[in-house]
Amino acid sequence: MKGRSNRPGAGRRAAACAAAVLLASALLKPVPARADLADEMAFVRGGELTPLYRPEKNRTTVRVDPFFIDRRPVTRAEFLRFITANPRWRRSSAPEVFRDANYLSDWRGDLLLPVDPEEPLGHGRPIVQVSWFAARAYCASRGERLPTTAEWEFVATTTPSGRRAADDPAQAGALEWYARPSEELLAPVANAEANAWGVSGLHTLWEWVEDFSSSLLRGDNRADSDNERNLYCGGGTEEALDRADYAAFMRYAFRSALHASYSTRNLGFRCARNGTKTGHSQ
Amino acid sequence: MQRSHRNHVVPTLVLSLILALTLAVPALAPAAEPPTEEAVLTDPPFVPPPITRKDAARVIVRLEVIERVADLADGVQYLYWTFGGKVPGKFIRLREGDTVEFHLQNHPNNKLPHNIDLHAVTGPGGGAASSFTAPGHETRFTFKAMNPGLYVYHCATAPVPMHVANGMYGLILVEPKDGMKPVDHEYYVMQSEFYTKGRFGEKGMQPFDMQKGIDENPGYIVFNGSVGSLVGDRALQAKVGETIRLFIGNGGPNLLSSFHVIGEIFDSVYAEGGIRISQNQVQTTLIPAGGSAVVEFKVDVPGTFILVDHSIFRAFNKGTLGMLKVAGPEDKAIYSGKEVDEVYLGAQAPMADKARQELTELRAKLEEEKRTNPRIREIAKEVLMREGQQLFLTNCSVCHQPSGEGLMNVFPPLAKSDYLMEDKARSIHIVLNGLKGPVRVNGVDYAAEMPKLNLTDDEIAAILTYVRNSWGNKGDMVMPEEVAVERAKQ
Repeated sequence: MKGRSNRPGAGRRAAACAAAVLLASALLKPVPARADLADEMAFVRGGELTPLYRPEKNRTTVRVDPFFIDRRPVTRAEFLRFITANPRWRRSSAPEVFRDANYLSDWRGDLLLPVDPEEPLGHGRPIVQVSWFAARAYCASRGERLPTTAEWEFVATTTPSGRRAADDPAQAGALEWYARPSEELLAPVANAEANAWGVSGLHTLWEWVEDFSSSLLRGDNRADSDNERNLYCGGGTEEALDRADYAAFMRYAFRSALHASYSTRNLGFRCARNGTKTGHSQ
Repeated sequence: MQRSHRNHVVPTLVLSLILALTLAVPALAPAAEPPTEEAVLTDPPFVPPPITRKDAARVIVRLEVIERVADLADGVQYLYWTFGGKVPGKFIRLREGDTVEFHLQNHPNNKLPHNIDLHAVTGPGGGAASSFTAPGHETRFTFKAMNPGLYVYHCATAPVPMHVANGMYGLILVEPKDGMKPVDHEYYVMQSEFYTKGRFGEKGMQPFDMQKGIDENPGYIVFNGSVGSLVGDRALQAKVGETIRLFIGNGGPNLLSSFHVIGEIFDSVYAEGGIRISQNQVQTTLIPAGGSAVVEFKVDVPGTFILVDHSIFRAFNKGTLGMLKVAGPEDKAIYSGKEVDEVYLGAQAPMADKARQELTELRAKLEEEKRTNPRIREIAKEVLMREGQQLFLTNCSVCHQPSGEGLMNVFPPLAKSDYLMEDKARSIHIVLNGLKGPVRVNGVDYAAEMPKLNLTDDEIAAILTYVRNSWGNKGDMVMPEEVAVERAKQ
């Protein structure tokens, strides 16, 4: 029994949707080009990532190629610009297969941000309550894409010097976010402290990743240890490489609970692109 | 045996045929759907009413997962993850054979995905595999409650120990087909541990400490989710002569419970939550993590009976303490109460007598100083004023207005009020008893309709001291003794 077996037809539906998104992204109006790439995106030179779960039977690491990633999560203001230019991603017109009833449900209208006692600061808060399809379309409109799980975990759990981020005091607070109740208002993205890669806000909300559904934790995580690929864990710890990394367990569990159409109050995203320091491509 | 069996073959066949025919007739009619009902769910320490139906039903259970901050102890807050808002979660009560349509709702404000493993479910993960739910979503699965007993349910989402440690467990009772013997009171008590960054009692918001969980070294071991959840006004209640049934669970995540009620002996124990009485006359019953027990006992004498985990440091240093208060007449034949209590000091007796006498004299001196020292009197008046202000704002300001100006022609003013200030005893009398009828204040007639407020002498003294010394009023203090005098006159 594989992880997605409790979502009948999920694979087929995802394929159909992916095709639709591809088609749709060809029609996307681009949002304004980035003023200064280095200013808005951090370059991550890649390397070997030791993910929470063993990637293959006899391997403990995966190779991560060089990439650029947004320094900050995408803001409400940025998403507002995107849906202004692309009406089909507005709340009233986004097709139902691409979003659930929570999609932008905190907004007052198609182009009206939620009431914010601290306007105009509200524009700088991270965009949440967006589906994977919408997040993907946003990045596509910039000629970019969502980061992969490996890229996201790499930038969140490693440092350029090769130290584990968990040992970095700036990141030690990752668990603390989970120990606090949902904030009424998420803090503006500019407030977050950057990590050693120059990337901030990684541990102040959840973020979509391109391959979120490959986190095949099953509904019952404890049975995952009998998985033939040896990827998953009894109680979330048996096969995990770093049993103490509870924050990572929560991220993997969270991703596995999602469907591509879902949106939740604490789930946002940022974009990434392939590339090297000297030149970048999509 | 064999022969007699053979002899009965023919009549048995005939009988079976008749029986089959009789049964076949109703079977031809469309099978009646079992009735559908919404399950009654209760917060601890309460238990849903016993099930009276004689047949199976389709029961709908809706359980909402809520992540919320609440008090773990006085001044100590914790972010609980709950099934229904409280720890332990809602008590679910079913009857053997019921078909249960289970809805798990994950509140949109929650941060994490959750699921549920009910030990009463026969199936993969006890339902966990079918109930994995993202925030702002709801899942549904259906199971048949085939096995009677008292079962634990809990969350089984990675990291499982953390979800359990944060409060995600509760009890589900599947009553046997024939029901359970009626008792006077049923209560729901569940023990569990909390692993906080700070030590026991350290104030403020306390985050979960993963390392302490791994080390099995909790700061708190409690009944029903927090220190003091079953003491004082929240103690379990009963009367002398009544029979009590406790449904006891242990949410863990790590430790076993040696459950004991000080001063009681369990008449019957259904060990490990099974359906048969496993033992009578039990002092302490062991409840495994992720397990349960049912105990029954009759209370014969009045008093407060203390529920503890008899791993006794837990009771006195980590919070595993609850109370059962039994009211009613004493029975000296069963328990005499204290018959003798004399000082026994041995050789130190004369010195102790002297110390006691000195202490009495010093206390008298302190009281005298409080009465006569002008500085202390001044502070005491300030204290009374501030207490009085708080009480006034809660009890009086809706009508008399926060600044005592009243509402013209409707509620008489207190500020600069001749009626108030000219007679102190009358003002005490009014707050004590309320006031009905015409009254003339500062030359204006009012039809008074002031209710009697249930306030103590101390509270009335504070309110009147405040009212008689604010907004331009100038008076002396009103002492609780003066209120007592007026109260005595009634």
